[in-house]
Amino acid sequence: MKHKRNTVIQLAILTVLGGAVILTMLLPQLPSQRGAAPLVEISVILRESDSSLWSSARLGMDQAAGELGAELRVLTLDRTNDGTDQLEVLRRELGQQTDVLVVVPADPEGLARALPDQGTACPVLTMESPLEGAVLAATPDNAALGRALAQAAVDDGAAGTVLLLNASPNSTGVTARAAAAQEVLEAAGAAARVRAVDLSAPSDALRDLLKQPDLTAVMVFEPALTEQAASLKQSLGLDVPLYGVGVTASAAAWLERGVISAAGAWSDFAAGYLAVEGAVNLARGTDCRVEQLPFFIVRGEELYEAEYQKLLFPVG
Amino acid sequence: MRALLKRLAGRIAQGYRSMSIQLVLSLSFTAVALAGVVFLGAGLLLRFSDSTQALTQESTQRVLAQVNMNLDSHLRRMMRVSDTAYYRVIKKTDLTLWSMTAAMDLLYEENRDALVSIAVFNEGGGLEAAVPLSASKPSAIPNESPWFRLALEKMENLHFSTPHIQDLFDDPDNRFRWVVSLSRHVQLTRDGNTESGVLLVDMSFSGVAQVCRDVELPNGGYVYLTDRTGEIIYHPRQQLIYSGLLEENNLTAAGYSDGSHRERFQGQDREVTVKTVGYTGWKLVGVVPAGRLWGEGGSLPLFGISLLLFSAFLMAFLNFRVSAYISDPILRLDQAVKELEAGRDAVEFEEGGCYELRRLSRSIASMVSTMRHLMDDIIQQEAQKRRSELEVLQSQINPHFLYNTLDSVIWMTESGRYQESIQMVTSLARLFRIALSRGKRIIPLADELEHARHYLNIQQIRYKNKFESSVTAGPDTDGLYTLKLTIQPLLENAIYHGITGSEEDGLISVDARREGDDLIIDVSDNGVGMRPEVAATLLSEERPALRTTGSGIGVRNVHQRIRLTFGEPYGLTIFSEPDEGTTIRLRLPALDLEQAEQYQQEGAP
Amino acid sequence: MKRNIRSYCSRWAERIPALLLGLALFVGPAGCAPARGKEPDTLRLGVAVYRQDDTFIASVTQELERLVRDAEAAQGRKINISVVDGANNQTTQMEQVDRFLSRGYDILLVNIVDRTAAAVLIDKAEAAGVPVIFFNRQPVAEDIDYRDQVYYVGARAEESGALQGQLVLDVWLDERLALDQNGDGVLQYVMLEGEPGHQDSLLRTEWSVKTLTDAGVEVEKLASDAANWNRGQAAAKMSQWLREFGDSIEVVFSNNDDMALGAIDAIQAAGGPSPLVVGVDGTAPALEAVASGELYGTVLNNGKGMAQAMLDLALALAAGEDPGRTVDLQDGHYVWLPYQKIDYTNLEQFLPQGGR
Repeated sequence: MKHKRNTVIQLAILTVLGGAVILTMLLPQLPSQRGAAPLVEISVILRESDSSLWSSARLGMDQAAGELGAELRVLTLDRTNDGTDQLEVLRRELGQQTDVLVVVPADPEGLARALPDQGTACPVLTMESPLEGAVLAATPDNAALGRALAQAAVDDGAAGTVLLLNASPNSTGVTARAAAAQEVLEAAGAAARVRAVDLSAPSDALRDLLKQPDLTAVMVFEPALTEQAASLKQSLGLDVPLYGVGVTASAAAWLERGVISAAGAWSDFAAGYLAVEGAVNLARGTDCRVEQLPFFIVRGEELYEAEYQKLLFPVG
Repeated sequence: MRALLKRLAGRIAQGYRSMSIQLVLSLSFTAVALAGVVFLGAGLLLRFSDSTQALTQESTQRVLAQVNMNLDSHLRRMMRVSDTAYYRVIKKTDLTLWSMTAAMDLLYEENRDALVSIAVFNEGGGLEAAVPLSASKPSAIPNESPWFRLALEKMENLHFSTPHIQDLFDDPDNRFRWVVSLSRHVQLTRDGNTESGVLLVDMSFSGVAQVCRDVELPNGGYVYLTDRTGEIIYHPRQQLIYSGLLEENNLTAAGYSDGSHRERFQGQDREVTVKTVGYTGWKLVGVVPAGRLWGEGGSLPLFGISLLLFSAFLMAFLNFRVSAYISDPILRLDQAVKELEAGRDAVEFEEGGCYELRRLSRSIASMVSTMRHLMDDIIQQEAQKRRSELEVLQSQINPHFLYNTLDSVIWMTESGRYQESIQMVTSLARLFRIALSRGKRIIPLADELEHARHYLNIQQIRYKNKFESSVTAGPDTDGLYTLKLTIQPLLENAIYHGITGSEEDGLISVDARREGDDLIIDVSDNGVGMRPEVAATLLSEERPALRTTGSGIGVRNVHQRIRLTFGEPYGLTIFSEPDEGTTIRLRLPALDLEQAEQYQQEGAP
Repeated sequence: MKRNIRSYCSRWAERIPALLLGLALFVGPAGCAPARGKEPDTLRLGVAVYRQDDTFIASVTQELERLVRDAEAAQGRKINISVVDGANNQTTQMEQVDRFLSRGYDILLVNIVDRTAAAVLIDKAEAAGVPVIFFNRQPVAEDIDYRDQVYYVGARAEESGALQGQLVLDVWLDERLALDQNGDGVLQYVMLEGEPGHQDSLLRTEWSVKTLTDAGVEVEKLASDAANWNRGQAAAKMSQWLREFGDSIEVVFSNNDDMALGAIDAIQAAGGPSPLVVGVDGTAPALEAVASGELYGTVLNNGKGMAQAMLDLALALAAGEDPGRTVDLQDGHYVWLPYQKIDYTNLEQFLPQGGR
């Protein structure tokens, strides 16, 4: 009996030591120790047909992807704000087993209706507009942004008729900005004229809208339209103050030249970084920062203030 | 605490007492080996971490020195551009007569990879010349810029700015470029008169970044660059810092003197090495996260630990083997002694293990054999003693028998039955002669039978032929020997207990025959007999040796003598039925002369 | 019990080799790193461009991204395309290429910053077994011709120069009076060159003028300078020339459209009569300028065709097919794309459909 116990004790000691040897040898090879978690595939689906508006954001996305181990696919639509096309792209991405989706929804309601049909567990992160069943991240407070922009217009003396242009009436995020701006304007006694424009159509309609003689200000609420309205205003030589959202390189140039009076802006780099960071966290099942992105209203003369230039222009 | 320790010690002592020697040996060896390995490992690890830290510091400093040199040469190149632009172009150009553009263009093209622009401004901030772009932005107000004011304030120095977006020139491509400005005060010549101006060399930020970028520090460390106030000039994750997503301890680091410092930032210990870049007052800061011994650089100590553990494993294995080698013979010895205690006869002692054990087991073995010899001797002597006692008892002829016989002879002589008295005396003489047999214990069967016959003769005469008798022997019993005086006590028993109480005419017969290697002698009578239970107790040694009627002891005596002499299967068997008679069967070995001689000698006192 | 003890010992003895073997098995794999599993059905294309803000290059990469989406749908295969900007720095681009290779990209598409650095880049890719397709900026033939798995997609620079010369020659022949403003029968021109040393700038500069002189046109070079493909620098040069030469500039040759537009910027800023401006590339802003009459003409560097050819070549290489069957491969390494003249007369067919 005693021998049996001896054998058991000795075998136990040997097993423990042997196990420890093996453990220490295997430890450096464990994936968690190497920090080489599997690459997360992220599909970013924009709602524009042109990804150049997102160049700064992409720098942030690329940096996050590089740091956190993700692979990015940035997808644009054939036509800007085409909800069905976006759904099509989304469906294709789901079919290709992407790990996580980052969507800037063109039509959040339509998308939310169609999403559950896909029967997938693929996490979705949405930017700009809230989307049912998805995490909203890397987005400024849309209503506050609209209010602040309208306040800037009011401060500049916008009264009478203010034209509010919305190129993405289906996008709840953009529409929320416009609605908040309208409230502030009307509270200040101005008449808000809300019009929808189609960015993918020729710009004649937009031209006619801008040329209306009774306008005291024009407000737009998304980068694509800001650029287009500014370039039209420039080429038509109009004087009406333009308020926009998003400071791309050309928008910055127009701000500087006074074509755009003020713009609501945020760090695109931060937005891109946070979006990808959030997406990676979603895919890995860890907590995801969903705090709102801070925004600010910038005017041409403030463009080169140290704070703003750090936020607006990519280093390099 | 003390009580706990005491209890623990007690437990260990108790456990130790109940442990086998092998376990004690192997556990203590292993414990010692493990302790050694642990000490060795801890020592090595400490040494390793010390030297790693020293190495980290050293390599960080080396890397920083290298970066510093590269940065210095980069900045010197820019300062040379500034010098050349000033002394070779601006000083030689009268602005009313010539343009400086062509010469500055040459300078720009030469250093295109590191420059964004070269520009000269007059004291009022008006642009005098610029390459490669020449159209200034309407919104640009150079004379309010810090680089402009600094250049005019401290006109003997060159001034480096922190990175900023260049906002001077109209670029149709809408490029907003990060630059580091190098500005200085210059003397412009206009129409023979000199006036103040500012020369601005805008280095491309990426040129500066390039110098600091490809730097590898141990443990995933990195290098960043600040100006003297701690404002970041370059950081590998600069955009994240600018976007407010990341913080750096730059303001604190700017207060450090050159050399290594240890700091704790955002819950992480890190080794910070600072080096000041000459002239500019910029500070290169190398950051190496501390305590990452187990990180990607930690595979080496881990490998060491693994090696130590493996050696511990081998040592434990060896210990178990050695302890088994030492303790197995002890265990076997222990086993053998236990068997011996249990009373087994054939216990063998293996001689194995080390010298001392061999000697021990050898001496135990010899001790045991000596003991056994002594014991055997004692047993033998004891048996001898008993036998001789019994034999002495046996040979004492009952004096009553002698008196009675002699009385009978007297009586017969008196009554004139001489023939009978002669026969009786003859038989008596014969009886004594055989009983003595010159002291021999083993006598021929024929003598024994004759002894029985003479005894029967005497008793028949005494009991007036109250019984008949016959003594017969099988033909194959010739030449056999037997223990003497074995039959007579049985006859005595048959006469006194069987015949005297019986009404009928008695019949006593003695019959000897051979059964294989055994000699069987049946002594039968047809007397009163007894119940089988009584018959069974007759030979039992537990029965009190009562000499009630004189010779029940005789039967048992015979039985014991046979047993003592020949051993187990031999002796008496009693068959009896009440009123039927009794047969007592003697079983003896069929001894020939030779064997008889052997027993004779053995049995000699 | 005795047997028990002995067998216990012998059991240990038997186990020693087994234990050692077991340890060896565990130590064995410790030496080699486990291969990271990669989905075989994802094709990774790494695109490294010399400068993303070059209008022509931007149009090529955007077209490439669009084509990749279509190809993905057509092939049912996941294609990941990653475009990185070398910021006109060869060191940066090398780092980017290294990163592509270390991440296991399948094919590299490189618009190299410094064509003399191609050999190093090719060596790296060759060591990793990754095919390289250079585009638009042609490395020297020595680097390409003797290697496998190295291709070039682009246009012949001399052809673009010749076509540019042709555009001006046509005007010279048809409306000589309008062109020869000072009526001296000599064509005064300035030349905006691309990056110094770039073969496109060298060849275009050479051939645009050579076409004219070969046709017997007498020319006078007023100035020629490098503006690094850059609109702003071209504008600076041009405004300087305008100050120097004033009205005597009759034609502005530009090695690309961006610089031509810069020249137009300068001309407009200066006011006064406009010389004839010709560019190369056929970018969208240039086409607009042609439409508005500011730019006389340009030579279409077929960006769409280039993107298409690059993708076809890449897909063929990825599938392990002979690339010569899907694209018109010359000398086993080169895909040459034709240039086309564009002026106001044939502008319609090049304008993009719809708005913006």
